Amino acid sequence: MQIKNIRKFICAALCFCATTAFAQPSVCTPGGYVVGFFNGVFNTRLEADNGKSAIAAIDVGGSTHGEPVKYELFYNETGKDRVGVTRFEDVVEVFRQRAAEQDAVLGNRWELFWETLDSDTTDGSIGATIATATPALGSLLSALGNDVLAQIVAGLTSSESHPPTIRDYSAQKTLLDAHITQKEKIILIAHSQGNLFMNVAYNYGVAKTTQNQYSVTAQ
Amino acid sequence: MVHRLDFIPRTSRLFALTFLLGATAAASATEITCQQLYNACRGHHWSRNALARLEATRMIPVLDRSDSLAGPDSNHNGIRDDTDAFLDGQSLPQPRRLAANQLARGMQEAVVVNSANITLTSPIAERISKAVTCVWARFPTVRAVTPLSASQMVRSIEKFTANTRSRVTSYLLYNGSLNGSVSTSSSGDGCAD
Repeated sequence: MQIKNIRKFICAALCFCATTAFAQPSVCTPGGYVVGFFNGVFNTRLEADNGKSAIAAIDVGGSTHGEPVKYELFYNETGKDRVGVTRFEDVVEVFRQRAAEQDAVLGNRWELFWETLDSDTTDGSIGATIATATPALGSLLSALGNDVLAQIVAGLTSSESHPPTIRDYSAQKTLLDAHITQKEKIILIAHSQGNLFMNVAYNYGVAKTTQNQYSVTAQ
Repeated sequence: MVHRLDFIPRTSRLFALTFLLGATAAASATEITCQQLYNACRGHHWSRNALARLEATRMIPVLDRSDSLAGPDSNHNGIRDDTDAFLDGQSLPQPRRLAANQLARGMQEAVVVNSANITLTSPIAERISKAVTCVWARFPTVRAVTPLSASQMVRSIEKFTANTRSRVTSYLLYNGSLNGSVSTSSSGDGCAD
């Protein structure tokens, strides 16, 4: 996620709404700001919470223009394919099969699955440590990562073909309704596949709000 | 390297030779790499040894890989012993250790619950959300090798806890139950201790 871009957007969105608040007091008072985060593809709930916290860590001081800013996660778990198998399970199966084919010892280490899923090859990651110490294993991990990535892309394509509807997310709809009723200014941020879900939420909410109350961005 | 094969019965040696010839033919037909063929014949000893060396020198953590979802927790603090050992190795100041403990307990619950029942999983998710907020309040927010940043600590605890096939499967069941859920800002820093 491009944190710098998100920082710019949040600042711009907050300033925009705050500015218009003076012109249209009925729109931007009194509720404060809500930043809603829609996580990306193949994120666990924990990783999505991590993403929300990363956005919250961008310092707007907990408030702006005298109004509080709060951060909320709208979680999606990438969904299921047509036969009811979750796309996450598809990726798990690809990891299991390819790891077993390439090196059963790697396939027994599922902590590498999460690093592969995140494409985490930074210093200090287990995969990077293994690759540095044993380049041959690093090559196998790299090939494994490419296979998992291919399945992720397939899952993303599949989910785009079957976009969600707001009826699938009653808890999220209820939360949006509450913010709209309280006249809070709502900023929605989506990462990757989260756009599919954010678009649904946006279309639902925009009919009930003015443009000055509702903003979206995609990363 | 020369190997003495006298101890292997002749029929077994003929079988092995046939297998290797067949495997070589198959390799050329399906473009199996030399490394893969080598692995298949050597029982992965080289990679197992390489990883064992990294574990022995603590360059990568030694994790429990038992069939149990919970794994060993000898001091009954709700955190698996290998995760405890990883956190011990980080030499964290007390506030950070408490935050990491809070998250590690939540992750352990998420892996062990083994259910898609939202009434069971939702309270765990709420506890984890608070723990993540706590970690972000007490750890550096900038990526680094040492000490780990907040994001790195969160991801480390997740990948070390859900580190076997059965634990991953159980954990995905938990995550699937939370599809469409929301997590609102917790008041304060989310820390229990």
